[in-house]
Amino acid sequence: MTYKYNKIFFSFALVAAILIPTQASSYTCSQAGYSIIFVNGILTSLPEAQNSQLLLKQALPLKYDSQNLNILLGYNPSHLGGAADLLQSVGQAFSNPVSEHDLKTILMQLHSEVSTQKILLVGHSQGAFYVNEMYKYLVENGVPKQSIGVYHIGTPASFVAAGGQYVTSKNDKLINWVRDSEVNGNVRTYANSHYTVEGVIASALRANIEIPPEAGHAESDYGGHKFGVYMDGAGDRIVSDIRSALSRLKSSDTLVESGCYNPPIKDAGYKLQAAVFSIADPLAETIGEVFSAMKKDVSKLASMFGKGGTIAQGSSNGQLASPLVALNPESSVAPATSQQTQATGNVAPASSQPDSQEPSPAVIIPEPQNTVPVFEIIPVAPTPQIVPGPSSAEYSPGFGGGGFALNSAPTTSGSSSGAPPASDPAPSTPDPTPADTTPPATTTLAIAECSLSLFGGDCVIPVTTVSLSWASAAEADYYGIMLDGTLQSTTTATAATLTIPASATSTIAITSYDAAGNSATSDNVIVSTISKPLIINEIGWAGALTAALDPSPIPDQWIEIKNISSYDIVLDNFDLYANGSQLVDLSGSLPAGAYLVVQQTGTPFSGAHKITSPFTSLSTSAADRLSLVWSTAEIDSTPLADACPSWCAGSTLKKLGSTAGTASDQYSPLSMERISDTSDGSLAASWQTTDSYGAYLGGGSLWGTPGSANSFNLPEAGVYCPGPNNLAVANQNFNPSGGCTYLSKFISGGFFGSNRYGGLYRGIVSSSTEVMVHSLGKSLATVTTDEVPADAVAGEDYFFAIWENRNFGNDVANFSAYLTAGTGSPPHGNYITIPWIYSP
Amino acid sequence: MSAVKTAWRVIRWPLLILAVLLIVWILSALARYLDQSSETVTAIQTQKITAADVDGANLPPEPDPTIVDATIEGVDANKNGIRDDVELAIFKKYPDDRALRAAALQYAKAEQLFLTNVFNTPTWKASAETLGRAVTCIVELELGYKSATDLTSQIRHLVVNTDDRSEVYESAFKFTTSHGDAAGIACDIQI
Repeated sequence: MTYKYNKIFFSFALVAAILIPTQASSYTCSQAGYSIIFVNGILTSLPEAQNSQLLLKQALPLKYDSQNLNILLGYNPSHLGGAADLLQSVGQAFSNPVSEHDLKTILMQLHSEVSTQKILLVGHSQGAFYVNEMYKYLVENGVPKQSIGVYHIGTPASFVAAGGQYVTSKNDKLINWVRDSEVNGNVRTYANSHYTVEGVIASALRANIEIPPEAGHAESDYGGHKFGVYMDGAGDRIVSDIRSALSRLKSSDTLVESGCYNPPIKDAGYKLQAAVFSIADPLAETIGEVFSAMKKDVSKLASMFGKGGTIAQGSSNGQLASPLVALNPESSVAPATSQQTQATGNVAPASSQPDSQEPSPAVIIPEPQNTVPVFEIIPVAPTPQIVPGPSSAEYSPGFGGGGFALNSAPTTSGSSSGAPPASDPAPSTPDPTPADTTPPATTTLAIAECSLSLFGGDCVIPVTTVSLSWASAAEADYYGIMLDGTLQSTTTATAATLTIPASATSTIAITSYDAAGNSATSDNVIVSTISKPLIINEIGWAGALTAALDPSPIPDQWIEIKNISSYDIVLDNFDLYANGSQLVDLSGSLPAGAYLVVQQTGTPFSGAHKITSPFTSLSTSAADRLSLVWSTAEIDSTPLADACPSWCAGSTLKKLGSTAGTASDQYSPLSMERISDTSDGSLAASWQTTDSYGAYLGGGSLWGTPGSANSFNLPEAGVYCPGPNNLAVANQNFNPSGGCTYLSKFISGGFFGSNRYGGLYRGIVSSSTEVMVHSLGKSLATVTTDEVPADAVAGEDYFFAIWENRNFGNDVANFSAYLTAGTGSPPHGNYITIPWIYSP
Repeated sequence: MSAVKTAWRVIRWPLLILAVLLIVWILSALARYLDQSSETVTAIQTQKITAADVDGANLPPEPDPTIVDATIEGVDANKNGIRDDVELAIFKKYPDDRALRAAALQYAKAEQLFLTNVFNTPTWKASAETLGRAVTCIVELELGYKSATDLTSQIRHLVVNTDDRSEVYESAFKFTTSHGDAAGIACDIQI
C-alpha cells in the first residue's frame, strides 16, 4: 500500500516536472556581423566580470568592417569563494581541462545570444583556458574554423587555440606566479618552462609586453593582472590585435540546426554539478575567511588538515613561491573533496537556487566527472617532480594511464609512456624482457628564422615557414615535431621545415622517442608571426625638387616604409630591392605606426626616422618594381614594371593648377603613394598620386608626404567641413559645422603662386548675401571658421566660391558684386562655385 | 500492529490531501515568483529616460540631506528612476552638453537598477543588458576609451556612494550570468 502512495507522490512530481516549460526556440545565425565572447578570469569582486566586458565595449568600435560588433559576456563564475579557481589555474596550467560544468553553462547560456557566424573568443586570465576549450567545442559543433578566432589577455595557458595572438605583461604577478609554480628551474626567469604532461608541452606563454606597474601593484597578489590594468596599459595593442583577429574571420554557407552552434546537452552529470555548486558556493561564502586564508597561504591550510599539500619551494629568495600551489589529492582540503563528493552519492535537489533560469533536477544520478586534478609538487632541488595522484581516474582520458614526470632545466622533461608516434617508424615489437621505461634524452630546438626576429628577445617573424634543427639526443630513435602541443609529424632526421599559422603565436618543440615509445620533449620555442609588419608606403621616384624644368638625373629620390604592426620592428634583416637587385640594406628599428624615409641624399625630410643611402637612381622613364625583403622572403612590393605604362602613379614635374594673372606657374614632382595600409601593393589600383595638400594639412610638401600619413586624394577644388570625409558636393545636402577647409589647387602654385580668395554665400550665385569671405593667401588649403548664420533654415541654398585674386584690378569687389547681385560678369574664369543645400 | 494499521487507514487520506495542498501551494508560489520576475524584467527593459529628464523640465528639488542616503533606493521625487542626488550632480557637471548629460543620466538610471530591481538571474540579466546599452550610448559619443571609462566610473561612484549601497550592489552581482547585447537603439534620447 505504501508503495502505491509513493507512486502517487512521484506521479505528482513527474506531472510537476512535465508542467515546467522547456525552451524549444529556434535561433538564426547571420553571416554578417561579429560576436566577441569575452570570458573572464579569476574574480576579485563580483561585478568584475561585467565591468571587464563593459571596458572592452568602451575600447572597441561599434562596428567593424561596417558590420555590427556584439560583445557578449561568457561568465566564468568563481566557485567555493574563488579558491577553486586558483587551484584550477594551476591545474589547468598543466594542460588539464577546464570545469566542464562551467564550460557547458557558458555555451548553453550563450547559445541564444550568439547571432553571428563570425565569433572571436577573448579570454582573460583563467578565461583563456575556457576560450581554448570553447574553440574546440564550437568547431566540433557547427562553427566553421574560418569563422572563429581566439585571443588571450594575461594568459596562464600554454597556447592560444586557432593560432591566435595573446598579450601578457612582464609585470603580471599572477601569471608570473603560475610560471613559478610550474617548475623550480623557472623561478623569476619567466623563460620557457621545462616539462611535459604525457608528452604534451605545458607552459604558460611568456610575457610579450611590459605594462608599467599600476598603483598598488606591489601590495596586491593580482598586481598587473586585472583586465582594467591591461586595458589601461595596453589598450591600443589589445584593440589592434582584436581588429587583426576579426579581419581574418570569414563567414561560410555552413548551416547549423538551430543558432550558430549546437549547444551542449544537459546530462545528469551536469545537473549533479549544478546541484553541488548550488550548495557548496553559499557554504563557501560563509566560511570565506578560511578560503581567503587558503588563497593567501596554502601551506597554512595544508598543515591545518595535516596531510599532503607539500608546497613548492619555487622562490629562491625565501618567500612563499605562490598562492597557486596544488595539493595532494589525498588531502581533505575543501575544494578537492567537494568535487569528489559529486561522485559519491545523491545530492539534494537544488531548491536553494529558485531564481535559476534552469530548474534543478528532481532526481540526480551521479556519474564520473572531469574533476580538477590536484598535484603535489615536491621540492627536490634541483630536480623537482610532479607526482601524480593515486588514481588515473583523476585525470582526463587524454592524460590517464601513466602519469607524468617533471625535470627542471637544463635536462628538461621525460615521459615514460608517451603517445605513440603518428607515423614512421613503426612501434617496437613487444619484448619479453622488462619493459624499457627510461625516456631518451631531450634535445634542443633551434629555429633559424628566430635569429632574425623582428624585435629583440622574442621570436617574431613575418613568414609562416620555419626551418627547425636540433641535436641528436641520446637513446632517441626518432623525433616528433610538436606544434601547439600537437604532434605534427615524425622523422629520423635532425632538421625539418614546418608551416605555422599566419598572424598567430605558436609553440614549437621536438619530442625524442625511443623504440619503446618513451619520449622526452624539448623546451618550447614560442614563435609569433606577423604577415606584413612593414609596407612600402610612398615613393618619391620623381624626386623632391620643385623647379620649372626636369633636372637630369632627378635628384633627391626617396622611398617611405611604414610600420603597420603594433610592435617596434628591428630593420636589420630587411632590404629594399629594385627589379630583383638589392637597393638599400635597412638598419635600426622603427616604432609601431612610424614611417621610415630612405633618402638618396641628405635632404631634410620631415619625420624622425630616416636612412640616407645613395642608392642607384630609380628609373623615371619606366617603372621599377620595388620590393621589401626580410631575409630572403618578399614581404611587400609595388606592381610589376609593366603593370602600367610608367610608374602607376606619381609624376615628374607637373604644373599645379593654372593662373589668370601674371604670377609664375608652379611645378612640382609628385610622389606615388599607397591608398591604404591593407591594399595589395602589387596591384596598380592600390596606388595614387599625392594630392599636394600635405604641406598645408599636417605634414609634407607639394611633392609628397615623406615621414607622415599619405594624402587624402583631395580634389583640385573643394571645401570640406570639418574633416576630409565631409566634402561639399555640388547640389547635395551639406552641413558646414566645425569650421571649413578651402582647397584651391586649381589655382597655380604654392608659395610662389597666385593669391586666392574664398567665401561662404547664402542663396544662389547672383542672388545671395555674403556670410564670410576670406583671403586664402597662397595656400593650396586653408582652414577657416566658416559656419552658417544662426538663423539658417534646413533646405536653404548656400554656396562656396573660390577664385584667383590677381595682383591687379579689383577681383574681390567684382566677384562680390557678381556673386551676390549678378552685377557684371566674373572678372576672369579661374574660379569655382559649389552650390549646396543646408541640412543640419 | 493492527491498531497502527487502523490508524494509518484513518490518517492516510488527510495526509494525501495535505500533500496535494502543499504541492499546489508550492506551484502557485512558484508561479507568483515567476510573474513577479517577469514583470520586473519587462519594467527594466522598457524603462527609458525622456527628453524632459535631459532638458531639466523634470528636474527634482534638492533632496533632504538627512534622508538622501538613509535608504538603499534613496530619494527619487520625480520618479524617473534616477536618484535625485545623482541626477542633480549630473546636471551640475554637464550643464551645457546635452548629449553627454543624456548619456550620463541613462547610465546612472541603469546603474541604479542593481540597487533596486535585481533579485534573481533574469532581473540581473535584464539590468546588465540595460547597462550595456547605456555604455554603447556613451561609446556613440566618441569620447575615447579613457574619457568614457572615467565617465562611467564617476557615475558608478555617484550611484554606489555608501557602504550599504556598495553591499547591495555587490550582492546583486551574485546573479551574474552569461549574456549578450540588448537589441535596439542604444541611446534613449537621440541627440
